[in-house]
Amino acid sequence: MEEKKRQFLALLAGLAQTVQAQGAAWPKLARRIKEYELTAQIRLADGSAGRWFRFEGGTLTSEEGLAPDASVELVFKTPELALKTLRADRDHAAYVNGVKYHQIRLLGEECPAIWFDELLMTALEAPVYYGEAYGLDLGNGVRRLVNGTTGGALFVYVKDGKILRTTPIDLSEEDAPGWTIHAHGRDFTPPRKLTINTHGSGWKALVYSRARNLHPMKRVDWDPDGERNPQNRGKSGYVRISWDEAYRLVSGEIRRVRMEHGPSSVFFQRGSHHTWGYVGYFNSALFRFMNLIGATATQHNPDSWEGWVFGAEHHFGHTMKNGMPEPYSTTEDCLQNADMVVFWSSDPESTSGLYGAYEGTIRREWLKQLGIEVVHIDPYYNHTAAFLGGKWIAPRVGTDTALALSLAWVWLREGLYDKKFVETRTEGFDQWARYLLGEEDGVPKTPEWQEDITGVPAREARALARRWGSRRTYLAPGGIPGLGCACRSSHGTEWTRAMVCLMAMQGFGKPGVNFGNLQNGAPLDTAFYFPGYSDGGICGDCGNLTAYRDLYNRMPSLYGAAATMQQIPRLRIPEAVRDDSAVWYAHGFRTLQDQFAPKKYPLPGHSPCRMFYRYGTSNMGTQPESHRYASMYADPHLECVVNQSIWFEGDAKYADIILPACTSFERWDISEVGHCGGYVENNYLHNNYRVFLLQHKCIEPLGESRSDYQIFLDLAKRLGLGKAYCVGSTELDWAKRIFEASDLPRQIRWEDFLKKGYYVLPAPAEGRHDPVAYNWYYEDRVRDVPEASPLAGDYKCDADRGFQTQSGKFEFACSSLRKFDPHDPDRPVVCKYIPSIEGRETAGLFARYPLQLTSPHPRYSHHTMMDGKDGVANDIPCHRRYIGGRYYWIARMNPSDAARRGLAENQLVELFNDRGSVVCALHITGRVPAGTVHSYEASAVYEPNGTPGSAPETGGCVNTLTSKEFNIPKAHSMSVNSCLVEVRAWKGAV
Amino acid sequence: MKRRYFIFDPEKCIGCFNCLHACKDEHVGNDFSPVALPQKLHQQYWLTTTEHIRGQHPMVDVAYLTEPCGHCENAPCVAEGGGAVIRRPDGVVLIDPERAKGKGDLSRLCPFGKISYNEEQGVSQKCTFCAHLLDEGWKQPRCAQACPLEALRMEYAEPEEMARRAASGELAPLDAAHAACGSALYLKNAARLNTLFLGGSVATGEGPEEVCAENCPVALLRDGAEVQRQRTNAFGEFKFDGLKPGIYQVVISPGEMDRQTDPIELTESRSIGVCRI
Repeated sequence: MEEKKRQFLALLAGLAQTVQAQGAAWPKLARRIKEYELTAQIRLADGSAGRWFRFEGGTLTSEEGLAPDASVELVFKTPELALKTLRADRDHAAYVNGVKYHQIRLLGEECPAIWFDELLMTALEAPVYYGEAYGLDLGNGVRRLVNGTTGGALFVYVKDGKILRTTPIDLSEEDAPGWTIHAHGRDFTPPRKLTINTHGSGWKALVYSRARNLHPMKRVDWDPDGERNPQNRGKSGYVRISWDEAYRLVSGEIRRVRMEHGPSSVFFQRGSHHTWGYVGYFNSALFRFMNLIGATATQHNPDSWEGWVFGAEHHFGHTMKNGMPEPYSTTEDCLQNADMVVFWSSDPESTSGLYGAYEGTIRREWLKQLGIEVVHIDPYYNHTAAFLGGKWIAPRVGTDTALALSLAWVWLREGLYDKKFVETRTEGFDQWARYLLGEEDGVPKTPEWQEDITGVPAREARALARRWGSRRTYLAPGGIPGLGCACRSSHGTEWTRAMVCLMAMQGFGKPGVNFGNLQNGAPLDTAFYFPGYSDGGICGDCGNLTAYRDLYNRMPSLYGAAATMQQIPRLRIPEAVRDDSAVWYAHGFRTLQDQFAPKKYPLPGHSPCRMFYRYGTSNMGTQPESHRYASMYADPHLECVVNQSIWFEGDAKYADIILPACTSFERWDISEVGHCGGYVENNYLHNNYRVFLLQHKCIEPLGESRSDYQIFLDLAKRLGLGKAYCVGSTELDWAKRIFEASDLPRQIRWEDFLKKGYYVLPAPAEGRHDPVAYNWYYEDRVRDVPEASPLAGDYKCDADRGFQTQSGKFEFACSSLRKFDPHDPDRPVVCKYIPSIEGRETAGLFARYPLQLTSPHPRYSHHTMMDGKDGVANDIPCHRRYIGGRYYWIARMNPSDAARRGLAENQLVELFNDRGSVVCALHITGRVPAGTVHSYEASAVYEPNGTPGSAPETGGCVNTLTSKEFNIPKAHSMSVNSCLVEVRAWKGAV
Repeated sequence: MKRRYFIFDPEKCIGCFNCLHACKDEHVGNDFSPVALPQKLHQQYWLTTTEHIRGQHPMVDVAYLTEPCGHCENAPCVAEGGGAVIRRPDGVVLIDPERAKGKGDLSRLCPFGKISYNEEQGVSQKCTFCAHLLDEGWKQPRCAQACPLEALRMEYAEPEEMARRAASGELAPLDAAHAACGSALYLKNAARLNTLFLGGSVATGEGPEEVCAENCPVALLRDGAEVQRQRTNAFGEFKFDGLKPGIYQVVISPGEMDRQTDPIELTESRSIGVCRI
């Protein structure tokens, strides 16, 4: 027998011994061995060598040779392939290739076959999988593990299989030191700790929440073989079923609708955020499954970017980042060179930028220490203003663009702008100037003109313009910068355009003049590769995610791409379900012109959706005119509704079958703190340290809940797709594969990373910080910032010079818009003030509903995460108020408006308009100007006081009141901050 | 002998409530007897954070007060607790769960509302300073460890040292009642919480020429005497802070002639609006 075959047989003998020995050592492995009684074998394809493994009564016997009764077979075309892949440090490229081209075949029924494969591979690392040989042993039975959240990283103390406590991570001596910034004769270096915010600090209560889904459930009056009673969704109760039954029903319905209607008849929707970790994230485990079954995806509106995508992008590109400006080294430049920072619709203390916990808070504290002047422009005296102080300017909701135009008018008239930059680095200024000066419409955009619209005194607009125009100023439009309430309003597109045009007048990219608020752009090492969640994790989808940029060429995978291009726009799901039809304009990541092609649902020859697979969270809390979503569930077009959810809340209460998912604390995962990849490129620059997490499985899943990955794998097995789904990997294997695909193995061994749970990357040496954002552009150099976008295909020919516009320059007059529709009244070629479709200018409506509702992203929850669910955030008196035994959402109102209506502090009130009504606890506060009502979006609790979809809503879903209109007609974007309401005392039951 | 103190700085508190979450995380569902039995998940607070808003649009500011138990030196709860409440040599005041059981609701013993009755455990409870952790070598109790800007800190210091810092004005007791009880809770920058402001703005010119009067001298008088003086900022604004309630007058001195307001009775922080010169 040749040498390789002998090695193959020796390998198999070793495997058998490993399973036996480790099974004796670890009871958890022994239990797994007991799961099946069968004979399996591993052999070469030609039958010339092999070994059988017989599992009987929990024991394994194994001998060289072939067994005729083997029901599971692992077959290798060559012994070399087995030697490369049947080992803990598997050659994944060889394995994937072998599976793809049928050189490695796992034969037999999927459930036992995958069980056998997992048994072998996990036995090779049994101490990790079954012996919990990870974390720090603190004695007394306490281990300190690590996990991650959207609000920061945590140490998780575990004892007796329960979470004892979760704390922020204080760094130790052995962790790399932080950077230092020298500014104004002082040295600034971040403290030796990683911060968490409020939706990072309350997780223990959410894990052990009474609202957890702990068992698979079926709606009592949903019968797939009889009456489905869609009209009772949200009304009728549930009965507990087994996982086998749940899998049988769900896989049965997937098979049925695919056969009856076509593959695209399965429609799935995820939330905007998930429990943290790149294996379990929606782009990863969920997309991998849905792409395998060819399901129709939800096309998200650019959630919090809205106006940036459909507005600012046309001036300077950045399509792959949803129109957001560059952040690089702006923390350093701002502290060193800026005289003033303008926060415009920017509240990073509430939104943490995005996943940034309170990392930026520490840096803004330095702003305070240095006495750098700040201005806050926001209709609410927000938490960043509360922390930093400074001048507060409160334009009426949705009128910010008018104020911005008046600043440009003053600069133009008084010469307070960078004329050289405008002349040499921009195009189309003259056209905009004509509009500003009133030469186009007869209306000069003066401070007096804006006063009538915004309510901001003309003299203050003039003072701001002169101050800004004569000092080096950073502008933070939105929280990162990017995002911001003002962009989520009617014609919020124009606000984002105004923001970038103002900065173009000031010559952004020169020292001290840039976009930023110290939330982003910390001096960290951007050359070090680690993926973010939107890079697709285990999905392997090179088409729809940003995997195509990096991860695909570092992590071989199988069958990742979406099988259908059909999508449903999230803001029109209820109409798409009802009418089997939708038309919209989608944001395109790759090119500017992408967003001009109208999209349609359904695609020709495709089935519209007939089965809805919903993945956690709440449309009713987060989507505009949200009664629509509750009503939608009664539609008979939806033959089956599945909801895979950790908690019984939001849309889960409208499902036919509920699949109980577990939290990230109950499964393995891997991540970088705050790094979402893709659409917020290098988002980890929010942090003071780059920190990578091996998210330990801290406890076993509660009740019968299972990890998302496990649920999808189990369903895939029943659809004959299990092997294609897992590609021979467990969740921890996938985490290891992502580790190996990153640059991390250069810094730390897998074993050490697994044990410790985190790694802190050394900061770059002084003098090696990234170049400051846009300085390359300001100085007309080749781009030198660490970005892989835009794509060459959407770039004018001189690669890496200039912007993603036709001229390659910043365009005040947008050539892309001129080509698309030069006469579009909602998106003119130059930035203009366009009155809101719902505001003070809509006179008839305003007479009936004289209060403007602003509903920013919440401070104490991350969308619906952390809110409701019997969690501890309920007890934060600035988040909810406890009245009559219930926790009510808060609406905030100026004292004069409250007095006029005879309303009192802590009184239950009803916010209402023609779309519905919401019951809130009233907080009377001078932080809100008269005429404005402030109440955060994204209550996790949807509790109609009667028929879902029409009755007053008592959980605090203020999106019940907001309009479903896009912020401009040719878009797919929210206008939720353009909302008129009236407020009255709530007369109903408490 | 060294004693444990809480120091709270409203200048550094961003109102994030991580302290509340950390307290709940540590004490709900965990039995740390003899230091403490589990805390209730809802409607029981061993520390509170309250929002202090001064003024209203267009001139407003916000601060927070986070207030755990003061672990008072002359604690009424220790004196009147019938042995159920003890004070350790390091100053930590603990309700002994065993001895407190059967004694009913002891919340009346604390004039500051820091004792609460947990009917689930049948025992009165309060902040323990996370003594079970400090005794294991933790540097800070959970609430302080979770505080992003270290607005809330535990310090282990000699009482004389703290008295010196209080005398120097760096630290202040929460109020006279807390001082009388020997509370170990001290404030930095207490003025953010216990004083008033009087603000306004100055404008000059008319119509399109109207501007904010920058750098304009403004004085604050009390009983006819100047108590503060400042110059307006770029937006013509002035803001006299650190005031006690009383009758004030503002004097604006743009040039040749002073402009003096009528007497203003200041009972709560506010802006007097625009003064045109």
